[in-house]
Amino acid sequence: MELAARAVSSALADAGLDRNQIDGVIVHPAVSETAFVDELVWSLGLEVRYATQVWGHGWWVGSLVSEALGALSLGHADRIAIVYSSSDSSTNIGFRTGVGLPPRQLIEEGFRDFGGASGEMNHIGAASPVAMAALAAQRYFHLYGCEPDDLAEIAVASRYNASLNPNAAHRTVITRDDYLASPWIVEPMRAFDCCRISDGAACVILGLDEGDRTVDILASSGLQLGADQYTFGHSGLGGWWEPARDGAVQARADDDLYRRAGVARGDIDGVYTYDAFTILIPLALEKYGFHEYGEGLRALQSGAMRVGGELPVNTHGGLHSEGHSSGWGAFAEMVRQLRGEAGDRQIADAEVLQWAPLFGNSVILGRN
Amino acid sequence: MRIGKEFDDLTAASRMVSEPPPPRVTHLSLPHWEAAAKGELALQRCGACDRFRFPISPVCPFCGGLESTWQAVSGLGRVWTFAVVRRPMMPAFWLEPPYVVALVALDEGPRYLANVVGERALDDVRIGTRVEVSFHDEGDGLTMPRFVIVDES
Repeated sequence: MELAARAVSSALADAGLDRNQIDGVIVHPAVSETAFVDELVWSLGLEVRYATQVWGHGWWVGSLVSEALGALSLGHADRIAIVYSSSDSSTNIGFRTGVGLPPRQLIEEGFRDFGGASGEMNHIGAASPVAMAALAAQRYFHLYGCEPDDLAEIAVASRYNASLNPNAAHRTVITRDDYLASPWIVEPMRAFDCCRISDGAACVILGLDEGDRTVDILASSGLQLGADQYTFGHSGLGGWWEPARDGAVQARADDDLYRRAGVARGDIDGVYTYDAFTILIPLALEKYGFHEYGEGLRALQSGAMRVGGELPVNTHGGLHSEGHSSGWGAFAEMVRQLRGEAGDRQIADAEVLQWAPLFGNSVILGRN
Repeated sequence: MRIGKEFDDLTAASRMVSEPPPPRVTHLSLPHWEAAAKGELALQRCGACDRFRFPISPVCPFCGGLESTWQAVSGLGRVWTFAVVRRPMMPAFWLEPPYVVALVALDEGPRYLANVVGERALDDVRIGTRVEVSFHDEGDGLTMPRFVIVDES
């Protein structure tokens, strides 16, 4: 709650708003001890006419932006604060694996008949999403002729980008050798393939205002789910079932998103994506058509995702190196970039940036 | 083996620190675990479209049918994808790391998440490896289906 309060306070100050000007709240609770909507509204002395709370794993940040846009367009509120907070690190949740203390609790979803949302099945000894990322990566390597060591560049690049970000938790650059020396957690995922879970909070304010400090939301799309994909794979890569419909593949995040945003895919100056595990970056780039299926990991070997690269990805370091804020850190970074306030990691003339997670719930932001 | 067992102990969270986490047994999944105790891998088969499915679900993902029966499958399949857990992922588990977690594409169609065990597991598991179910008594009425590598027939 303390972190959430600080995040809201900082966001209000940044936006030049008074708390009385916030009339809507969307709360995104984390797995661990977190600020819930009642506590948050009462503690901060807010008076809102629109409040909701969405337990959204780490995937749903884009969906919550869409939720806010819907509420604004329906007139439910004029200015909505989306608030995320987490004490996942200090409360030692079950996702933590392989280092330090054993997890204090196992994730409840891992006990469903169906398994967890990221495929966790505690009784199989696959209690953390890292196991599912490893299954997806193994399948990817098999299908497309890559190998685990190819992921080194993603870890090295993420850490390089974070080294330029004073807000990042992990700013020390690493080399390919450092990566290769890091231990397997769930092979083929090494320690440096995994983000660390973090304490933290974020607040994003959306409204109908325009001003010098605002950025534009050009378009958003919804989270995609289907029987022939699992959380950490795009179509054809994995999944519990054989494809439900003959020859069916989950549609690539389609061109409609870019059309609605009024931009071409090639206009995107930087990509931000959910990277709890390194493998998720090429999978996401492929999903949005920045690369053909199976080409993403190879294409990144050139250093393309680094600040200054061909198509920078997660210039703030991502979940991997800045910290696991479920992706809200990327929204803060996109705003900084579009305002031209990103310092040493500034993308020159950044005009259009995309939150492009593997799950399809994308948001395209443009410079005001 | 009965429904809701894991809730009996209100200190379940602390218990898990020292014991492997058992599968949750619900009214839906009970037949799966009862069959395992008899040495059978049983899956739901849709009463409308006849297809097997997994994970366990009250509805057929292919046709929406709500009626299903439990039927034993051959227990043969191929590794669809796999991973090797090398660091402990939970405080206690039946298998010591390193152990194999695999998504096994059963001959009947569904993919089943399970451990691949046995002397050959760590050295020989690959995508496409032929595997067969084996059953492991973990006490307290629980039998865990796992898979072992078998030669191509």
